[in-house]
Amino acid sequence: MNDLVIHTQGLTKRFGRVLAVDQLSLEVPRGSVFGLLGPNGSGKTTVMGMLLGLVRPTSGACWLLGPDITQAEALRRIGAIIETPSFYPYLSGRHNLEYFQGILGRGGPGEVDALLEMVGLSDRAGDRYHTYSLGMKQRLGIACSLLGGPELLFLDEPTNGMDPAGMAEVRELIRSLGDGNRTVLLSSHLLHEVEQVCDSVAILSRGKLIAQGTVADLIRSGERVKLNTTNNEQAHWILAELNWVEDVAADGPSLVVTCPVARAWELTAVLSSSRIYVTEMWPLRQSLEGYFLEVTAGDGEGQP
Amino acid sequence: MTSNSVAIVRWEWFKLRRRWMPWVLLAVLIASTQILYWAMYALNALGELFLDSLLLPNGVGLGLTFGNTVLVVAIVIWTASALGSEYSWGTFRAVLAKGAARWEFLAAIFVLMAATGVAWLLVMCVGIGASGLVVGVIEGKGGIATAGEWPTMFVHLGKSVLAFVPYIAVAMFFAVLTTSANTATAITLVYKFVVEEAIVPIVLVTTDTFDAVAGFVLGRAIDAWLAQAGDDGAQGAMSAFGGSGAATGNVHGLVVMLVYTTVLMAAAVWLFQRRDIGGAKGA
Repeated sequence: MNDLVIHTQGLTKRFGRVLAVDQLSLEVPRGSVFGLLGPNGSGKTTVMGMLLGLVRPTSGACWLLGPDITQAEALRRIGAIIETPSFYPYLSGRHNLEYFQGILGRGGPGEVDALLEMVGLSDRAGDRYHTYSLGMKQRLGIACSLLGGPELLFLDEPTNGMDPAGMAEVRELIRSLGDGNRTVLLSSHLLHEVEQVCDSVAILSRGKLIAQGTVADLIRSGERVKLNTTNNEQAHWILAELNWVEDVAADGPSLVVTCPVARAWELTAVLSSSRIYVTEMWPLRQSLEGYFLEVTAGDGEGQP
Repeated sequence: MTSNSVAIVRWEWFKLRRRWMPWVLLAVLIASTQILYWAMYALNALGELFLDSLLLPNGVGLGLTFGNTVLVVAIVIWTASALGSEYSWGTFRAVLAKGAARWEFLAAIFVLMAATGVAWLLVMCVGIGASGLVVGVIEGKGGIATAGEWPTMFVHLGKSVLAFVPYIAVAMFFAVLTTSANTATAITLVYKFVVEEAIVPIVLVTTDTFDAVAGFVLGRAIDAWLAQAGDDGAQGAMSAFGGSGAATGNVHGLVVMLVYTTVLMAAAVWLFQRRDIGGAKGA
């Protein structure tokens, strides 16, 4: 338990007749970048809202940073951007950060300037927030979330509205933030971003947790091997009998076998013992996006 | 208040003083009271009013008589805007995610609104007082009324400080209930000027069924609180309460005001604690 920073048990939220989050039990380890994925309306933001005390759970329980830490205390050690960053439009970027630093009650006098410098907003720090572009607002949001040196960061679509160079910078920043003892909970609709940045992910669909694990494990679970043999029809039946093979499907003149790529050599051994020989074989490694689309097929709007 | 609450008040002031609205409302307050004051002076020049009532210290009391109404309108607009804008900008979420307790945030807004109202009231009085001096010089009276009562002026000023506070609670309650600055302003002003000032008097004239509860209407309670001994305005509320004399009416008015303020603030906090906080709603 001590190595966990987020723990939820049967967390449920119902908005009238809509079940937004259904019995979510989630554990996020300390010191990692953890991705929260799901189609639109899958409940990601509602989960973050419940964790931050902004949304009252219908049932279930959760804690942040430890079971003995009160929510108010935990929130002072957490930084968060939920959906679009929200700031006071009539205040400058610097004044917004100073205000939130004051409310938080943590952080030194030079922290605001250092954070503005870090996110590349020093030149525009004196301008009013309503004059900022979406990318600049996101940068200010990231700076605000880092006030007080939080142990846990909630970042909901942090690269939304940024140009490609800015996105790359922010991804690098998120990766570095997740090093050491700090934990980042990242919700993003950009699956390649999550694949690049996150150590582990949880996939939500219609409010339910449908998959959780390290990115490497999830990708591995969707590994396939494509092969051509001297007798595809017979090979199909033989391979389908193996208990470590998940699926065998015909793909034109080839067979696609769902199994760990590392055990591909065993396929050749089994087939050759039946006098069927493999003429061609190549691994099909699945991306996180492919895995995501597979497990959420038909859910929501089909978009992460 | 806890030290955390005091810090929130301080940072709310840091934030709110940078808005245009409180300064615009202050300008409107000063301008409207000055216009009314000088209009009365013009009428006085025609011989319709006593000059003494315009000079210090009486002029301040006179100015407060109409200034209080303008002040209530200003404080309702400012309170509803301060709270309602947080919903439209989605900033409640950011503030509460930083660990500020919900009740502390509402308490901070309440304290700041009350402080703003007091500051506005004092500036308004200084303006009227200055105008009184000018009128005194113009009329060759040295600026001070011959029959002026300074203690009465300070009592009037002190009572006026408390008179607008219940409307802060009304505006805050409706801002939390409707999550909209505009709607909360509209409802509170309709309550003040249509329900209290128009509907209740009509109902009381047409039937005596509600006589017993008339003294518990906020506007009438405030009238009773503001009333000086011998004022006619206090009589209705006092008779409704069953008391006699201005002192009884004052106490009754104060109690009703406190009850309204406490109940509405408690309801606002209760609602605010229970509700989910969403993102920006747009202007």
